[in-house]
Amino acid sequence: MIEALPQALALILTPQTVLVGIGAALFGLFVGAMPGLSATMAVALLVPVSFFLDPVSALTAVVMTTAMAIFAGDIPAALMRIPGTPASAAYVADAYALTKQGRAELALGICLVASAIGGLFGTAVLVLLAPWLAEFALRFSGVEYFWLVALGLSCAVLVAGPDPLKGAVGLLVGLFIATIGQDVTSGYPRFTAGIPNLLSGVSFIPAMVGMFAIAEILRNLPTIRTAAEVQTRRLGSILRGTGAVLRRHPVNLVRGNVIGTAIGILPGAGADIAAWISYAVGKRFSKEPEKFGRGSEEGLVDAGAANNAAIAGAWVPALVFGIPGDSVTAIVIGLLLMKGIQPGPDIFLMNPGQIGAVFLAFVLANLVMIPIGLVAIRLCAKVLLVPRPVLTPLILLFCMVGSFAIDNDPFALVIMAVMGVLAWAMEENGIPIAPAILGIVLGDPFEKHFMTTMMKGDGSLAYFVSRPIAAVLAAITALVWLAILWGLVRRKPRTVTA
Amino acid sequence: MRLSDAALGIVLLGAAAAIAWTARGFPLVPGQAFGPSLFPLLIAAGFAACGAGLIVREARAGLRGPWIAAGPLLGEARARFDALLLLGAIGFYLAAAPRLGFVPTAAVMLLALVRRFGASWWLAVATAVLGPLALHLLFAEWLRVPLPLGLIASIRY
Repeated sequence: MIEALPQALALILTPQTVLVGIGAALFGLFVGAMPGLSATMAVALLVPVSFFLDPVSALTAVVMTTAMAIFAGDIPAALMRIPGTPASAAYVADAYALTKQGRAELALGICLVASAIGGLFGTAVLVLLAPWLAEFALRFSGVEYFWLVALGLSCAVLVAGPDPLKGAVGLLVGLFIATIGQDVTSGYPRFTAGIPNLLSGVSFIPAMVGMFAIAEILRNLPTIRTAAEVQTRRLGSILRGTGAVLRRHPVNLVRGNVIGTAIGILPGAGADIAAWISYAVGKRFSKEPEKFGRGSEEGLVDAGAANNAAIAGAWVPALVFGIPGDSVTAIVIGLLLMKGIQPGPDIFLMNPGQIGAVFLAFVLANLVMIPIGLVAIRLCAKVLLVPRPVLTPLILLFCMVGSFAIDNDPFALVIMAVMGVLAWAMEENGIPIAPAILGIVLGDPFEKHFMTTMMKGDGSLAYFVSRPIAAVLAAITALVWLAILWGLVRRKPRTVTA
Repeated sequence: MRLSDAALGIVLLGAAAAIAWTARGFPLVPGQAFGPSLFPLLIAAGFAACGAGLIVREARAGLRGPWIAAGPLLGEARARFDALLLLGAIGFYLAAAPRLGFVPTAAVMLLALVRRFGASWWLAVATAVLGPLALHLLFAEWLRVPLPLGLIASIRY
């Protein structure tokens, strides 16, 4: 990878990429800081614009936007007790408690520096692990890919949330949506209801915009007229005392980094779940667990680092196997395919410069996060005053134009609206969206590998475990399903409605 | 709209039946025992299993909640109308944009929505004037997306 460094530098230091990067960073800060707008939504809104950029600029924009958005979500968490993105929800009580104690600067400082360190750690793992895994994966054939995708989809169900049964429903919804359109092996049109626009399948970007942006708009409608209260006290020096706190809790920092990256790599779980798990583990091993939820510095370090570490971790399976590690990388895979770049182990051989540029973008994003973040914290109190009655219709219009722009097809608006209502209804009923997204992205390759393996084996299921790596992957997949079933059986009936 | 587990289970069983019924008619690939219907049938089987699981779970738990609850968006008349208006705005755009063009259609849409959501007339008019122009500049002028021109076509070209 090192030999690609000069090429990567040349790709990323063009005026266009730098400008796009700065613009994306500001955009990410804004969207992340606005409650009700998530990092995934930021990326979904970004895609229609990045569609027109060269691949390196487009990917840089995605990296910058996500890194900044996940950090910026901490700002309203500390100032308003409202997480800017779901990834900040785990420790919102602690951040706000510190603000109440007159230590808003410390809360924001910890979040900012822990975010940057977490992001850099995740990036280091991405840079070291991804090419190594890719070399291993070059030996895979269709059978191995079938099991790899099966494993990814199964993990998504396992980590999807408190109810694996509804996680499985989410996955099936995604897989079904992927079957709409011409069948991958014979070209027979399925479930198109005679609509010619659906022959090539449900267009991916309008579907993502619908599921993330429209669904969020619908969910936030009941509170659209309530103005938020912002702490407007003038803030002092943000970074003072931050270093001391981080030095006092090195274990939390390392643990947050490792947990965050690992959760990011797991398909289907991203920054949100990484923060929750890291926070829970931090509380479990803390000497002062009673402080968690009441302004625990430790909790902020643990979870603040974890959510940013997860962002880079999620790119590992996305680049190496084409299996998204979280919802953002699901959109990235769609973006790569639109650019004619096939994610997979070959990507490191075919596009070393572009991949190197992505790695560099990650490093830069997390380095500039501290200065840009410091400015953002100062400006944020003003940004948070943008009235939601104005912002929401503008976002709707942007979604509509963006969805249209991908294929210049007005039917994309119908897809966007239908998928938005569907995702809203799913979330209302506790069916998680992340496995559905994975199902949509991986449905075609899953079916293709499944069908070709069936054909190669002449319909014999034994062929699925005929190669050693395939058999191992099959065994791991079976273990994941045992864990899911175990979770279902063990659940106490009383907690069903939780 | 919140369904109880059992109600959701029934919906899933219905979906499974509908998928299986449709997939039954897909042709086989010659020379093979399976074809384009195999994968959808597996999905239908999965839906049926999950639906049955949800029904059994609620039956075993014996919880007697309502089958369907309205939830925050559909429960309140104002929010319900907001949602209808929002989706209606997309429909209005689809119907009107080809004739009126992007900027006027989007302006009407924004004016109605921003005002409906409680902003002042002044803010609503400003958003309706500036928003569509900014998006037109970004997408139509800069990114060359063929947004419907409509009325503008006669002025500009």
